[in-house]
Amino acid sequence: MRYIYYFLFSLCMFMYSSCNTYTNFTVLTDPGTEIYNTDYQKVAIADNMGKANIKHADKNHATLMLSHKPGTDYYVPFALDYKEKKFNGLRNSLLIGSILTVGGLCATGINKEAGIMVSEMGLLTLVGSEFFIPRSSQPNHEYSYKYLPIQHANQDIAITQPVLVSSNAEKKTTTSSTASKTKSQTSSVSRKKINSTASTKTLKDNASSIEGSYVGTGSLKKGNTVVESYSNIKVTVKKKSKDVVLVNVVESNGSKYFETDCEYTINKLSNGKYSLTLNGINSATINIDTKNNMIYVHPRVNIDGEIYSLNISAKKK
Amino acid sequence: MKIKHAFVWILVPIFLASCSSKELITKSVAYQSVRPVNYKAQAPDDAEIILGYKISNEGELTVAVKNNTSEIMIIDQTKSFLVNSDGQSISYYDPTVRVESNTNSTSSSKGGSVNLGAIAGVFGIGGKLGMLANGINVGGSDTDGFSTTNTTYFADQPQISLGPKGEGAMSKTFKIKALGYDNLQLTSDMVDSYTPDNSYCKFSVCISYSIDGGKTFDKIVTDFYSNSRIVRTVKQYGKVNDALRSVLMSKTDALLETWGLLYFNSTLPAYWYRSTLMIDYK
Repeated sequence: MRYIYYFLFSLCMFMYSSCNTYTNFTVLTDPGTEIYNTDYQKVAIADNMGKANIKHADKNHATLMLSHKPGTDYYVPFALDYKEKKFNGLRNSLLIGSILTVGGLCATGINKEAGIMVSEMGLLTLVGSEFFIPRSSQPNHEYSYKYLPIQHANQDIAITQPVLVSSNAEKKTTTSSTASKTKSQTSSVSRKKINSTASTKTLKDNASSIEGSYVGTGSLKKGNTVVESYSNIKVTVKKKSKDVVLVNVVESNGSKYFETDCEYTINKLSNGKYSLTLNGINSATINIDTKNNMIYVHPRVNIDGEIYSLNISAKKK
Repeated sequence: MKIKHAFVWILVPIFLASCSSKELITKSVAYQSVRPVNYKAQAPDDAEIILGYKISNEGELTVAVKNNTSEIMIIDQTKSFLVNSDGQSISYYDPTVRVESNTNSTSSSKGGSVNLGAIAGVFGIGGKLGMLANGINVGGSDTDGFSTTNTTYFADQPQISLGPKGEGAMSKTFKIKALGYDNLQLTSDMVDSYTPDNSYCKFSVCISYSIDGGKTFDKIVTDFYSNSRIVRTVKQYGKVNDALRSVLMSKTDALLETWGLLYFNSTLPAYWYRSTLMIDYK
């Protein structure tokens, strides 16, 4: 009869150790945010309270997951936090089985039948422990960790578009690699007339504070030699985003200096002044003080392959 | 039961039970990104040659070529090369060069066909090139990384003829040194941004081609550089997301770079990356 009990016990242990285990945790994020695994399979959607409940299979280790806000075309990774947790089931059952086996064998000298029964129980425990091995090979068991019950997505972090520098298309000539490299590093292009469209917004941010037209005087130099002087030259500043503006220079005859507007990143200083830097050319700067006076410096203007410096002092109209 | 058998049954489990378990330790979250020096969003209709560049999570670069002319284009692989980030120049035709790439991206097929399969769809002329979804490779639906199993490469011959409007991939995939997660196993905080002049990782590709039957050869050179490298250490055990947040706040455009790789330096390491097809044309 007892062998039937032993068989049933072994069967239960085998079935128990074969079942998958799961860890449940909740991701806090904006309502409606979708949660994906790194295979881009949707695993949950945050409810109206901003909670997404995840049931994660312990046989897989997940370092991170992805959140996606409908209407956007990007995914934001967030790491899964964890804490240490020891899983000693296998170890404990092995120790207990060993103790029972040894104890049972020792007890046969006192009560043979009882000793044999105890040692058999011990051996059965040891055999049953083997069934824990698949469970113990799960990453959380093997590396002694448990995911925290509350996780946080990173949807609240502002994601911005990179400002990528480009130039005109290459003309169909056999140019050397050095020449093309030089042109790309300057990133400014020859003067051409094009129409431009302006968009204005009235949001109170750095770009909104400084956008507009600045009119003043300036000069174009090659080295220390003044090539052209301007008595009435305009710098146009248009908002692209909160801290990025598009800048161009317009001569009195209406012709633009640059075929495409140049992107500048704004840094507001502690004294209320603004310092702008051309993306890709750190030496090209614009400084605007609290009275809307502008100092424009661009030391790498490429006109027909030659490098000039353009300097303008202007005031906001 | 014999006593000696019993001792075996007893000793083995004791040894098993006494083994120490491993621990999950995440030391840092690292990030690096790459840009072309001269970014081009799309190719115009009159471009004669269009190149598509793809970098895998391990920093392996594959170049696809499209002949946008109605002539036969000859690619001279002996005069086409990669200048790696360590300054080493490697020709696309050099039988002695060992390709440093993993099995996923090895150019296993060297047939004469130039059908690039899925790559062809991204060479949209005149329109915006499709931005590939994060982690999805060019040649198939494998999201694990850059698998080129559906891509046919040029044969490893000195010169290759590319038919009108045809396309193909250069014969080799090169590992860019200083790129990839094997270069991000760093454990000290850093937030560095770089320009094309001072970057720790600069590399270039030169492709030589002819559209007059090999009488004259032109070349197109594309320069790349790594514009950022960030490492944030995990300050409190298990609080990895804090380090990741610190990375994302240090560089708010990290997730939308042309190529960006996040690496979790852990006893169970993991990575996530975004790789778009970067193009150049002439």
